[in-house]
This record gives sequence, structure tokens and C-alpha cells, in this order.
Amino acid sequence: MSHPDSIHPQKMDVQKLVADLTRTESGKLVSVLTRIFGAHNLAMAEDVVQDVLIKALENWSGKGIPDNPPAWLFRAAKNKAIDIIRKYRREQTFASDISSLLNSEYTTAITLNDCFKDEEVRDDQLRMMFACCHPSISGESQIALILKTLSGFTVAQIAKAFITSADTIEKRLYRARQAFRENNISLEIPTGQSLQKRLDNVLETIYLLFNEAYSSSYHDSLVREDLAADCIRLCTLLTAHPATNTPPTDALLALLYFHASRFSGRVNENGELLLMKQQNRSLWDKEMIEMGIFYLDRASHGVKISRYHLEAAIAYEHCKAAKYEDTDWKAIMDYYNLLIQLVPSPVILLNRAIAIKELEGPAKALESIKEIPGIGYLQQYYLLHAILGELYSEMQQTQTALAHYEKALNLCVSTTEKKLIQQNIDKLKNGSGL
Amino acid sequence: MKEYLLLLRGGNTPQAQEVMAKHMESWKQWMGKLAQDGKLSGGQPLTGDGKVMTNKGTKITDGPFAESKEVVSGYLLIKAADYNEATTLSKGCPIFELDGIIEVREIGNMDM
Repeated sequence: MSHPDSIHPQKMDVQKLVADLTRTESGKLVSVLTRIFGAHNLAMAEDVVQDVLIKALENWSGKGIPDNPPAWLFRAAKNKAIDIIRKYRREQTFASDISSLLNSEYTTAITLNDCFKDEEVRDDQLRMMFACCHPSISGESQIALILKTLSGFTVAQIAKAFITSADTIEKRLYRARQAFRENNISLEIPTGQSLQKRLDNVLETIYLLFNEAYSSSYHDSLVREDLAADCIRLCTLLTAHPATNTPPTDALLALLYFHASRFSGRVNENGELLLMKQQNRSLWDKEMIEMGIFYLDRASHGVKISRYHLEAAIAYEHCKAAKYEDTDWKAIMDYYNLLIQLVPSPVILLNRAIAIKELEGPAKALESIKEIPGIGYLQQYYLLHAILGELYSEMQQTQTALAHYEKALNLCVSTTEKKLIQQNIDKLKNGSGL
Repeated sequence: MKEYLLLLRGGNTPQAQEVMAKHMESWKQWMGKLAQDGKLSGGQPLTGDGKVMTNKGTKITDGPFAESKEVVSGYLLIKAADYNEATTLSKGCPIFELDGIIEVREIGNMDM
């Protein structure tokens, strides 16, 4: 067809395709290979996936893109896995539950075929999620591991997203892989007593990851949106499996959808962050809001309420209000009062203060903040000062307001949020003729 | 617990894809159960070719040939208490689906 030398546009297509497939397929590939090789061989699994993607790049650039690129990747991965098993079966152990079957040629091929079935691959991602969120692994290593193995981000992308060095990320990954070996972590969905606790860990990590994606301290907005979408994808996998489809799982997914639905409205054309009351609500994604409602409804069929139920309910109150003035602050207040009983966190009380301000005015809101137990912990939290600045400014106490805004500015890391705080400072100074 | 060598002889490899697939599934089921019960030590199929060494190792000829019903097509090592158990465990071997036969031999101790 086309002359190899004029392949430029085609080469770009292949590169882009492989980059996209890295994001969508490598998580599945790493999961199934780790299930086969055993969690202690995670690095081996990652290497195979890396090799397969490089092979794809070379092969497709020369011979053209196959009809079914993902299937090509899976076939190549399976063949590579068989080669490795044959080469190393004498000196290596693989996943303990299938090691005898992998060791005998009578059963190697069929075992691998069964492992590569769609349902197995889907469940392997869940198993991988539990392994990554094992309590013996530190929070930051858990996140780095999920991003690398399940979401298919490169170390460079993760480093950029966390505004840290590739070296730091590599160290976190190294520690996680070590924990896999040292703690004999296996790829399985926990059962019995430990399932609930382990699932809580997984939900918490997904939530953390999603909040990171949402925080505008992210340097790379593309990574941010991709990441938020990935959290939704992983949470959806959890809701689809009978063992993990609990009401809190549904509630978390609803929460993620409600937050994600407002994504397009958060930032204006100049890349500036908009407050809730400034956002153009017609930009909010109605389909996502519908998905949120669907999962919130499913979540309500449980016996217990989780923090995600309440946070989703609050998020929904914002999503369903046609304009800021229509927001049902009383309902939001009620949800916060229930939430604080589940999660006695000063940050939640801080967020509740905004509802108090809407219902009872800035003075009452200020009072409630002063009464927050553990308010001391929030002194280095930029949001506390940003909110105090807003309250004092509404009460015409300009000097105090400015002091808090300046403090917020100093403590804040994100450039987009800094801009917002600076805007508030400028408005105050201009308004009071300073 | 003793160990037994199963010498699988004969057995025509199925040609049809579907029959082959079902046959391999039988292997997985049977060997999987042995493994689960802690009875499986190992086992491998053998290729059809081979060399026969005689005359104190100086004479090497090709053979034995795959067409012979006697030729060993594979081996397995299993754990069992006695021949009774060993043969009972071997009843499920998929080589029987292909009209192969099994020679069951006990691993002997060699004292000095």
C-alpha cells in the first residue's frame, strides 16, 4: 500500500494507537500476567507488557495495524508468557494455585488459555486492586502502584502529576513490589471477615486517587481527566462483581460521577478556577449526573449508611440545583451533620461551615469554625484561611480578611487556586480603596 | 506415601480441533484434581522421536518409533499409599480416551 518512507502520518497513528492502548489495555495485561506469574513476580509481568507494547510498535509500523489491536496484544502476551514459563519453570515458582499445571506441558497451554478468558481478565483487575491496596503497603506506594499497573501510566507521567521526581516514584514502586514478596501477597479477592475491611481500603484508595485527580495541583490536565475516568472505571468493575458490589461501592461510584459531571464547568477559557456560584451549569454533564443518580439509588438498598452515601447526597444536591440560588442548603446541612458522626474530621466541619453561612450568615459560620475540635490541625491548610478570608470579607472586616487571604496564598500549592485567591485579594483592595 | 511412575503408552493424538480442546480440558481437570489433593509430583508428554542406545552406549540408533503401540508417549509421577491407590488415581487419566495404556511402576528404595 503506502511506501515505507512516506509512512510519517501512519507512524504517528501507530504511536498514538499504542499510547492509547497502553492506557486502556496494559492494566488488564499486567493483571492477568501477575495472576499467572504470581504477585512476587510483578516486575516480570510488567516487563512482558512493556516488551509486547514495544513489539506492537515495531510490528505495526512495518506491517500495518492489525484488525483487532487489543486481541493482538493479548495473543502476544500469552505467547510470551508461555515462553517464559517454559524457560524458567525449573528455577522459578509461579502462582501457587496453578504452578503444577504450569510445570507440566500436559496442562500449560490450556491453563493459560483459561487464564486469558475475558471473565478471568476482568476479575484479575479486581484481584490486582486488592493486592495494590494491601495494608502492608504505604498509601503513596499504593497510589503509585495502581497508577503504574492498573491505569497504565508511565513513571514520568506519574512523577509529573505528583510534582515529584521519577526517582521518587520508582522508589515507591520498588517498595510496593518488595511488600508483595515479603508479605506473600497473592492475587485474590479476600473472603469472609477480611473482605469488608480490605474493600474499605480499596474504596478509600480510589477516593484518594480521584481527589488527587480533581485537585488542581495537577500539572497535566490531560492526566487529570484520564485519571478521574480511570477511577470511575475501576469503581465500576467493583460494582459489577458480586463479592464487591456493596452499597458503599455504589455510593462511591455515584459520588465520583457527580463530581466528574461538573468537571467541564470548573475552569473557564482562561484556565481560571470558577466557584460553584460562578459556574455555567449547562456545561455540567447530564449523562454523568444520570449515572450518579442510578448508583445512588442502588446504594440506598443497603442497611448501613457509609460516608460515601452522605458525600454523594451532598454532591447530588449541587448537581440537581438549576442555579446556585436553588441549592437546598438545609438538606446539605443535614447530610453534613450525619457525616460528621461517621467521620469526625475537622475538614468536614470546615466544609459544613459554608452551608451554615448560606443558612445563617457569615457570623454564625465563623463561630462554628472557631468551635471545630482540632482546629489547630487546620492552621496550615490553605482552605481554612481562604474560607475565613471570605467570611471576614462578607462581614466587612477587610484587614482580617486580607490577612487570611495572604496566609491562604502562601500555603496554597496550586497555581489555579492561587489565582483565585489573588483575585479575591485584589477585589478587596480595590473595593476598600487600599 | 510412596511415589509411582506412570508410563503412558500409545494413544493417538486427536486431529480435530474441538476434540483436541476437550481432550486438553480433561488433562487439566484430572491433573488439577491430583495437584489439589497433593498427589501430583509432575509429568510431561514426550515427543514422537527418540534415540535408542545399546551395546554399552556405543550403538545409537533412531527409535523407538511413534507408530508402535508400546512407545512411551509421556510420563507422570504421582504419590499414593500403594498400587491400589495408584491405579485408582490413574483411572481418570485422559490417555484412556485415546486408547492408550498405562504402566504403573513403584519407585523403589535403593539401600546400600
